[in-house]
Amino acid sequence: MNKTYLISIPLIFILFISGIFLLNLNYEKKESLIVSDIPLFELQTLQKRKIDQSIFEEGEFKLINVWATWCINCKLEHGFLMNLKNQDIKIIGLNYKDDLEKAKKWLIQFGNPYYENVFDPLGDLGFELGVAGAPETYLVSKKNKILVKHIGIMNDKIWFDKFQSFLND
Amino acid sequence: MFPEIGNILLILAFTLSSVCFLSTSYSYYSDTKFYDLQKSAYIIFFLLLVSFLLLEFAFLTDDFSVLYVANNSNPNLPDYYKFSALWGGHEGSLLLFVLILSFWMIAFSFMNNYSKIKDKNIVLSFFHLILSCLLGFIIFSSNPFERLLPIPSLSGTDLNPLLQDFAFTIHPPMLYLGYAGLVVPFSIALGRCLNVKEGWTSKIRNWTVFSWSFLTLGIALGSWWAYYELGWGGWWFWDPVENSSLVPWLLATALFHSAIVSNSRKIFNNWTILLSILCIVGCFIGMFLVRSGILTSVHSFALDPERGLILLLLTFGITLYSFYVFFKSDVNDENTINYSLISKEYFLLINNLFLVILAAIILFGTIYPIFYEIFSDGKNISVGAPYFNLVTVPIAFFLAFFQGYGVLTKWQESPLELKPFLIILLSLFGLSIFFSYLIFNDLSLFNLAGIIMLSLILAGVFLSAFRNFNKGKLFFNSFGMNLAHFGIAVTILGIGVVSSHSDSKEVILDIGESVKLNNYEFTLLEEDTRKESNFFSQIAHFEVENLASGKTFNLKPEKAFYPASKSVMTESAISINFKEDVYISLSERLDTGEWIAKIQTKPFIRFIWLGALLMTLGGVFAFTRRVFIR
Repeated sequence: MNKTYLISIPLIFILFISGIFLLNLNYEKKESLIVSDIPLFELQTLQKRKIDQSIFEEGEFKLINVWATWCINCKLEHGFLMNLKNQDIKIIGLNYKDDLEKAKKWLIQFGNPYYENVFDPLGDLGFELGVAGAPETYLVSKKNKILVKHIGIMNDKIWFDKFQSFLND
Repeated sequence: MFPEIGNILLILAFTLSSVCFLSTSYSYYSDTKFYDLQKSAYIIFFLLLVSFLLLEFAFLTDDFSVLYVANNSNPNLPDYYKFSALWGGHEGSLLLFVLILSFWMIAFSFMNNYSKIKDKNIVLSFFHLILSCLLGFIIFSSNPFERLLPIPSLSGTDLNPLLQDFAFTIHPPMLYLGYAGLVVPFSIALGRCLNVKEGWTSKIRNWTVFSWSFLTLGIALGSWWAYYELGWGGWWFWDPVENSSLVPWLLATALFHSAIVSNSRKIFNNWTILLSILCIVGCFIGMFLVRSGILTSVHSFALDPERGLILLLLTFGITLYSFYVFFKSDVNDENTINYSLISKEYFLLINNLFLVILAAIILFGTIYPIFYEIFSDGKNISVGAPYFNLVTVPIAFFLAFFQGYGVLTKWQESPLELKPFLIILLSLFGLSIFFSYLIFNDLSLFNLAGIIMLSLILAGVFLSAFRNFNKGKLFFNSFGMNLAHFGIAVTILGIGVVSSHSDSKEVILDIGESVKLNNYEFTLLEEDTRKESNFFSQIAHFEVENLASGKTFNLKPEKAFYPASKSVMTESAISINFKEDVYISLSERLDTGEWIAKIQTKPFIRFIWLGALLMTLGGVFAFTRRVFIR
């Protein structure tokens, strides 16, 4: 058997699929740029006041942050959200499939980075938004379009890479 | 404190392992003195073992300041599951993997004596190459000892309820014993490329058979777990993760068959080395597919594209490096023989080709969705059972033919003795058809294909065992092989029957109502609840009557709610029987109090895992006989 053939055929095959993998890894980052509307909803806040889509006022950027007390990674990004709040960025919390009392206690204990919190115990709004789990963060434009969806923990790097460019437009 | 020590030990192991690889490479290329590095292998194993135990300690003491523990455990989890929760996630399972890899390294160096220190070092250095790559990956991007500070979590998320199960506690260790064991032939083969010739073919053959046995058992355990835990009653889903374990398995199967030829006939040497490399590349591609989040599957670990990129680079680097070493080597067949069309060499060559093609086709089907997504602008498709069944069954058919007659052939040239083979083949075929009619009154195409394959394989096995029966030593030499081949036939029997004679029905039942499926009558008697520390569940009591024999038995499927992770699990109830399983899984409870349930009969499904067990035993027998009893 000729060794050159033995080496080159599998090598080409492996290089080819590695290339595909590499393309795909980069590809998914682009895919998270989606433009869609805020769904209509009618739920309560953590303080049991009625709340609907009108909480999203036009004319300013805001974030939707999906969180829950059962979600450990939410605790990890909590400090970062507090920083954003101090930079006057409006964050609407979506308290996802959680317990009301636990959620309130969490905000008192660790601090409240949210402008307002939508309490979504059954995940209804979450379903409309396409939430897969917590944490997730969405950027909503001045005209109430969802521009960016980030699954996972928020940090400085992701903020600069994915979100910042939209805010400057 | 303890997690930090664990972390430091990991870093020490990484450093030591890298130094071993680099110093051996340096000594080799600069032609200077080699230091005996045997002890460092033991030290690395010890460091990793302590590090592993420290993480285990963090789990058992509920140390939720460790992020990985907080993400995968819960105070209410029974201690047994806290222990196994260590390999329930990405970081911990990698730690288990490197621990097992270092175990293989010391087992190999303990049991194989090389006359020259240089030779042993060179072989061990390839263990160190893989080990240090993985340790680096763990330390820099998947550290299980990372802390959740300054605010530790109070309770921890939970171990995924699907994994709170016995089969899961042994499935990953077995699988990893198999994967990591494939590093042994990889190292020997690359050692051969650098002129370490001492007994390389027999070492590759023996160690591949051994790790192949664990891989077989690991895959079978995974299939068994999926069958009773996922609640659909399927035993193989052609899921990307399953496929990425099947690909190395097929390659390893090809590898030790090729190593048999290399060992006995001194030919196929390059082919054996290539397969050893491909096994490891296959494992790394599988690891990439599972751990990068590029494909979604039931087994997916936490997703992080950066990890994916590092794994891809590792895969790429190891591939290029090993192909480079192979390319620069001058391995040649030490024997020039002509073998005829009907010879063991030729049959094994063909089987090898089919196995490799099968592996390539399965790999291609697995990654096709990735391919498609790029060129169709983000559309998703999934390649499922129809594709895989269509392409694998015909190839398996050819494999069975060459496997069946292949065991009867002799080296170089053997006379074509079809008569005894055909007699046994036809009588087995006839018997199987007869029993198939007797049991099921029916014969489907899929079942027929299974029967033909199993008759082919068994005819070879029986004839070979019969011929060697009085030859004492020869009988035992081929016993492991025959047992493993017999196991394959048993598995094929199970697959053929369960694929064509399974039955299922979705039913809505009120308490007291009955429904019939095949020979069984199912009656929903009552509902119940129970509470455990980590979950509570609703139970439906079914009474099942076998209408043929008049016997009755009870089945209690559950619907369990795990509060810590807020997930609902279906715990199916299965009556295990030699002939067929009766399987009930609950779906929903309606507001009216009725239950939606799925009832199924799964004839011969146990044969699938029984066959895998026989393959494992055959492999272990062959290994022990070759290595300990010469």
